[in-house]
Amino acid sequence: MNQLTLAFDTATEECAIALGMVEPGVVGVIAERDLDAPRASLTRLLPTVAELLESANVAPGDLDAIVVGLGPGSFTGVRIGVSSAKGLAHALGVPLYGVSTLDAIARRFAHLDVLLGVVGDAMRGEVYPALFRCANGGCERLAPDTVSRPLSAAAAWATADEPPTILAGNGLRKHGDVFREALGPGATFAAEGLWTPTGRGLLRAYADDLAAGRVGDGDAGAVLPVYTRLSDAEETERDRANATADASAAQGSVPDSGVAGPEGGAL
Amino acid sequence: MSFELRPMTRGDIDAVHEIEHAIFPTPWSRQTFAAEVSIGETRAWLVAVDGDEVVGYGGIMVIGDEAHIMNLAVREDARSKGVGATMLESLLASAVEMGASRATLEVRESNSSAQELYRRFGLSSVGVRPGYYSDTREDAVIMWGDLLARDAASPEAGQELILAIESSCDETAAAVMRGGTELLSSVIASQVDFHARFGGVVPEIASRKHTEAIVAAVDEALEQAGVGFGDLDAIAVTYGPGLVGALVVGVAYAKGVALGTGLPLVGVNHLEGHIFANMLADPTVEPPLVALLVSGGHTSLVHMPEWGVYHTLGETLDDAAGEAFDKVAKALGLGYPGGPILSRLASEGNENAIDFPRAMMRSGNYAFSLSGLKTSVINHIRNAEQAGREVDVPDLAASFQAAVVDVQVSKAVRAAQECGVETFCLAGGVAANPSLREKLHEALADHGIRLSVPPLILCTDNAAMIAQAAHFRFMRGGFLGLDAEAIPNLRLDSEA
Repeated sequence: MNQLTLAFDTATEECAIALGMVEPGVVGVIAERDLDAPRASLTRLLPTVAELLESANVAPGDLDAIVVGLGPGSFTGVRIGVSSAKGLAHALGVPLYGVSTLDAIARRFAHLDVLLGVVGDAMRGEVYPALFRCANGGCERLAPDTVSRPLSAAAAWATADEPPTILAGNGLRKHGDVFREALGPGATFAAEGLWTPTGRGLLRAYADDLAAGRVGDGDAGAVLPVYTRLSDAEETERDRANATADASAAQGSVPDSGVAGPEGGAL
Repeated sequence: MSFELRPMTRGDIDAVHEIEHAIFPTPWSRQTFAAEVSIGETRAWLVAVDGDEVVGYGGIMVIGDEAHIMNLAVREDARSKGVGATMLESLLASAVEMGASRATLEVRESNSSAQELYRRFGLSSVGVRPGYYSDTREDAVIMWGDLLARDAASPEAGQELILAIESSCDETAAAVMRGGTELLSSVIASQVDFHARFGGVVPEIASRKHTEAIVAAVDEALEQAGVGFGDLDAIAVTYGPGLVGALVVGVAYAKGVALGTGLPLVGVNHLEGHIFANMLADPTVEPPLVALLVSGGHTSLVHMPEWGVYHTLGETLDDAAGEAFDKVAKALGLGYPGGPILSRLASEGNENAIDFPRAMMRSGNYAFSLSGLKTSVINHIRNAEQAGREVDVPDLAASFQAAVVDVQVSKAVRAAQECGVETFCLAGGVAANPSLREKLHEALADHGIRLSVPPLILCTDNAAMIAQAAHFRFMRGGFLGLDAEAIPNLRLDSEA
C-alpha cells in the first residue's frame, strides 16, 4: 500500500522536509528541502512545505499521511514542527505519525556497516545520546532516547562491549572533545554536513517503523514531542524533593506528557 | 506576510503585468488589463497588496447571470497563503451582487492546485476543451459552479464562519463564531492546576500543555458548533502579545490548518481580543471608548477613538496587576491564582488598616507601577513575622487591594474625561475583581460615564473574544501568511 507522505522536522536548526511515496520498508522520495534555518523554523517551515508541494504538483488534499520529527532537540523547535503537523493532519483528516529526530539522522548512515553514535545537542551542557547498528541499508536502534552529561554518555559508550565507530550529531559541536577523548581513534567523526536530520531520513525511519509495526494509531492529538526532561521548574522541584528526606517519592521517569502533575499529567 | 484586497486601478497595471509575465506562458498584455479595468459595469477586478506591493490579482466578467472568472494569479513567493482563496471569495461575492447565479472558467489541465481551489468554492469540472492553450496544445478543463447554492450555504456577506485559537498564556482555547455575532462554541482547556504549585505560570509547562490539548480543544469546539473544517471560511489565531513559547504552539497549529484547508489566516492581537470581549457581551458597546486591560500579564489604559484604532495611554512599568495579586498571595502562602483568594479575604478586612503606597497616583501620566507595592506588602509580612506579631490577613489583603484599585480607578476616570468618551470598558482577568468593578462603576457614574464589564468567562483568556476580533479583521481583509511569526511583545497601537 503506497502512500503519499509528507515528513518534516524542526527539532534542530535544520528545517528538514520531504515528500515521498512510502510503503513498509520502502521509500520513493519525490521532493525534498533541507534548509539551515536557525531560529526561523516557524517562519520558514510551512511556506517551504507549500512551495515543495506546488513544485511536485501535489495539493495538500492529495496527501495520505504526515510524519513529524518528535525530537529530542530544542523544546520550542520540536513544538513548532509538531504543532504545524497537528494542524495540517487535523485539517486534512489524515493520520499523523511521529519518529525520533535521532532516527532520521541515523538513516544517513544506513548504507554503511557500522555502529553509530548520534549525539544530539540538549543544551545546558547536556546531550541526547543514541546508539544505532547500521547495516544493509537499515538502522537498528539500540537504546531509547535519553538525556545525559556528555562525560557519562561518552564513558558509557567507551566501556560498552562494542563502542560506536562513527559519531554524528549537533551535540558534537560543543562536546566533541569529550567523545574524542573517551572513545579514542576507534571512533571517526562523520563530516559535519551529515550531523543533521533530513526529510528523506524521516521518511526512511517511518517506513522502517511501518515495516516493524511500530507506528501509532495516527491520532494527531496523541502525537507529542519527546522531551526526555521535565521543565526547569519541575526539575528544581524534584531536586529539592530528592534532597529532602524521602528522596524516592519524587523519583521516576518523565511521564509521557513531559509534565508531572495531577492525574499523572493528563489535562 | 499580510495582505489586503482593493479594487485594481490603472496604477496597478505595471505591477500586475510583471506578475502575469512571470507566471503565464502566454501572458495578457498591459493594454488588455487597461481595457478591462476601464470597462467598469460588467467587470470586477481586484488586487491583493502586501503594504505597497501587489502580490496577486484577479477579475471577473458578468454577462447575464453568468460570471466568467477571467484571470486569477498570485505572485510565486506569495503562494499558499490564502491570497488566491481570499480574492476568489471576494470576486464571487461581487459576481452575486452583479446579478450572476453561476460561475465558469477554463484552467490548464496540469494546474491541479488551481482546480483544487475552484473545487473548494463549489466549481466542478464539466468537460475539456482539447488543445485550448495554443502555446503548449494543452487541454483546458472547463469548470462550472452554482453561486446561489454556495450563497445559500453562507447566507450573506458578514456571515462567515471562523475558527479561533488562543494559546498566549495558560489556557488552550478554541471557539467557532458565525458572522461576528453568533457564538457557536467556546472551549477553554485550563492548565491552572499544573501551574498552581509553582505560584505562577511556568512558560515551559504552558507550552507543553498547549501542544497536548490543542487538537482536542479544536475538535470539541467544532463538534459543539456542529461544523467541520470544510464549513469554515477562515482560521484565526492569537499571534501576540503573550508567552512566546505558548503563542508558537497556536500559531504553528493554525498555520498548519490554513495550509491544509487553504483558508485565509486572521492574526489577532490578544489585547484587541480582550477589548472585543466587551462587544461580544454587549453589542451596543462601540467606540469612542477607553479600556482598562488588567490581567496576569497586562495592565494598560487604551483609548479607542474608532474601530480598530488604539492609542495606549499608559501601561505598567513593571508587574501586571494580576501578577502583583499572585505574588502577594504566594508570600502569604494562600495558593494560586492569588486574585480570587485575596479579593475574598479582602471583603472581610479593613482597607484602611495599613497605608500601602499608591505608586504613580499623582504622576500626571497613565503609567502604573506595582512592584514597589508588592515589595512593601512583602516587607510588612516579614517585619510582622520578625516582631512575632501575627499578620491580620484580611486587613492586609483589603489594604493591598485598595492600593491597587485606587490608582487604577483614579487614572481610569482621568483618562475617560481627558479623551471625552462616554463608554469605558474593563477587560482581562482582573476585571473579575469585585472591588475594582464597584469602585470603577461608582467613580465613572459620577461623571456620567457608562462602564462595560464582560461576564467573568469572557474576562479571562478565551477564544470567543479572539473570534469576535477576528470577525472585525476578516471584514477589513487583514490576513497573515504562512510565514507568520508569534510576536510576544506585539503592540496594540500598530493595529489599524
